[in-house]
Amino acid sequence: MSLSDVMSAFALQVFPEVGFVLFGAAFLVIAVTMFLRRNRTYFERARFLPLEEDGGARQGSEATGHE
Amino acid sequence: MNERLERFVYDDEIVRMFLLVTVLWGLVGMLVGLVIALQLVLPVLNFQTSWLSFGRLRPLHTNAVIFAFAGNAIFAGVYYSSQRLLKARMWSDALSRLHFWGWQAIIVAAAVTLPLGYSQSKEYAELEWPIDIAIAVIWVVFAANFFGTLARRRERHLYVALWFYIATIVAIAVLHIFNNLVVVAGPLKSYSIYAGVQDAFMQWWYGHNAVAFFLTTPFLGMMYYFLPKAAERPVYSYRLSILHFWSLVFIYIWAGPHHLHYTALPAWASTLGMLFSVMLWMPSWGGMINGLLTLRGAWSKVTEDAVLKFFVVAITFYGMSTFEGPLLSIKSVNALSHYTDWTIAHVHAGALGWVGFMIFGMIYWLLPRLFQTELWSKKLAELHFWIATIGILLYIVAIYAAGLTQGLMFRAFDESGRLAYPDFIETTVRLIPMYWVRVLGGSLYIAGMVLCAWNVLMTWRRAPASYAEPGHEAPALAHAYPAEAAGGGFKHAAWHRRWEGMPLTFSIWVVVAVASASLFEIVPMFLIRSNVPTIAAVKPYTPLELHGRDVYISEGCNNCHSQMIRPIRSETVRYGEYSKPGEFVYDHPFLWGSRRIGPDLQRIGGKYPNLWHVRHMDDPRSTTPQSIMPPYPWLAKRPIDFRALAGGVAAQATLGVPYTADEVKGAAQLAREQGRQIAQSIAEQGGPKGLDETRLVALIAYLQRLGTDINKSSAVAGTDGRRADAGRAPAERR
Repeated sequence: MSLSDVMSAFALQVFPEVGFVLFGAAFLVIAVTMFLRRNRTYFERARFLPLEEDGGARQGSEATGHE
Repeated sequence: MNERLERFVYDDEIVRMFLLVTVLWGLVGMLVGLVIALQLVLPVLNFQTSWLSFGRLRPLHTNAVIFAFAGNAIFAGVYYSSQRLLKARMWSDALSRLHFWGWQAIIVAAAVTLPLGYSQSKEYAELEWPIDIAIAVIWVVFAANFFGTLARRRERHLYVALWFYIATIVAIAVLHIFNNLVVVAGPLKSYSIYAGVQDAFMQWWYGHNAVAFFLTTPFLGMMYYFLPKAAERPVYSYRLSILHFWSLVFIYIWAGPHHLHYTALPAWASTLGMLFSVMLWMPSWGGMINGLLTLRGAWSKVTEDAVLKFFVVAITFYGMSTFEGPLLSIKSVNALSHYTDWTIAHVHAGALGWVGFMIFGMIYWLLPRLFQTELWSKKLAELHFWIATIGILLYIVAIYAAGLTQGLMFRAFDESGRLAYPDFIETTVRLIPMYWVRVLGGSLYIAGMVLCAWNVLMTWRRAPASYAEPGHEAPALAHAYPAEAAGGGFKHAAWHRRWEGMPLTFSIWVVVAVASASLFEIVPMFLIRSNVPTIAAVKPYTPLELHGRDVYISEGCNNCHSQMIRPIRSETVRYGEYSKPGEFVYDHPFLWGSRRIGPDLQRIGGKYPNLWHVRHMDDPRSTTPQSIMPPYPWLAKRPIDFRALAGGVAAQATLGVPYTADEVKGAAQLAREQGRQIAQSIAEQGGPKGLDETRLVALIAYLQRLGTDINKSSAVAGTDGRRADAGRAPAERR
């Protein structure tokens, strides 16, 4: 049995549904872990990286920002 | 903690170089765009000159704008922001210069070869194999320089902009290499190793993701760096940016098949492409919202600052385009929009609005910093913004209207059930007023570009004789990992925080994301036989027909004519039986096209006598009054290159096209004989004599063959021995 036979036996019409479920689940996992409160401090520093060159002075005034 | 500080300076010279050529190539690419827009309303502007004809200039326009204008802007943005985010000078000044000059040489080579008719025909991948190899080499140079800089950085955390750059570098390399795998047939001639359905699939896997990873991810990286800099505020949500990044990288790569709805592509692939395209709404709008909310508290600055104005409109266009893209991927919408100017409007909303305005905002922000002087004129920058905004709006509104008009006219039936507009030319002529508005809108956008160029030039003139090179200090990268990144366990995403500091691991995961998604589509597409049911009656092209196909590609006919009749009633009534996958098994490359400025040609074979084609090519308006097609008088004067013809047949045989050894060996003689017969019939019909060995005869041979094989025999066999179209209603004949 060739690889082509194996692939031909797959029910390709369900590929979109399977893909949707898998990537929907992956999206949810990433979303949940990213928005846990515990990660706030780490991300707070990261978001100021582009402004560090300018002294990063605004970090204090931005502490009440979204992150 | 007592850390030893290291001193370093950034290489801004390379950024200045890339920025200046961005402006130069932007002007060139847009001017060529204006020329071809004018040719559609005034065909006389083709000047009966081969290298000025629409079919050859259109790929020059798209390649110049994408790879020269946007490409150089990407490099300017990446080189400027990466050094600062990594607190390190680029790894190698020599590689930076090699990258710059190599890329400019590639652009010049493209600007010469495309108008001369050297083309692979695949959209945004038209350049021939020697230039493709050069692109791969220079891209590796860029990658080595970038990853070398990552390796010697002084900042542990990789800011999100850098993730987008990594994805760009990795994905473009993969896409470019696999879409350009060819068999060489001559110094500037090659054939795709893929054929028909599979070639179409690979092309739009590439084409869609060229938009994703050349016109989207690098600009998102630049947005995440330059917008906070210009607004003097951090990005709204760093966590949203992470979500934005991974969702885009995972989802985008699947979406390519939506460019081929209702074609001969298998339905499963088409549906997969649609579903993942719709899913793209999520991350795209996450990114747009993140960009716009970064300006919270800084909106007052937008009224005073041209840079922020450009960025705000750019992000707004990003939101609009990424809403419209998934909309167009829905099959029922696509049935209306495909092959019409709607696609052109969509592309230009993204290219002029999102990409163009991001570039202009970045240029105006960088100018005073790079040239160490004040911007020459802020008022001129403001004027540029308003002129360009009005220009875009005029352009896209007119072309959206044209696309909808065209789509509705294509499919309109009268009360008796016949096509309301049976002559294709009716659907073209109706668009001319809208094409004029496009010329006006495009001219305004280019006028803005001229103002930008003037501002750049004058700012450059005010620059100091020698640039100061301010030193910077930062501690060397610590070997120990920061405590805040290490702890927290899986559910607190410590794994991701570690990746963010490890470029190699991070890059590998990007490769895994791109490759796995690609293989999930590519492997079944190539391995499953039922995707392309064979048709016994379909035979390889004769040597002369194959050479005629090369002429068709060289003249860029596929830029205006499709060769794909969808199983939609309005199309089968207008053009004939719908196209089947098995009809294209010898088509290296596929030539389905993506828009119809002229009619579909899939069933043109035998529709008109040879003499009609002679007259049509010499002067399209002599056979079709009001036609906007360029004339091709040179085809009747230029002789066939029989050595190239024989090389083409041999290369196709290498690809598995079943030519016999005698056919390969005697290709030139076979072609001469067929050419003589066609030329004789033309003379007998009252046409010019002596066309035997001209390119025109080769093209006519090809056109007369198109779509005729399935009429030769009813033996249409599927993999299971049944007719491929068994169980379907017979399509209407012309």
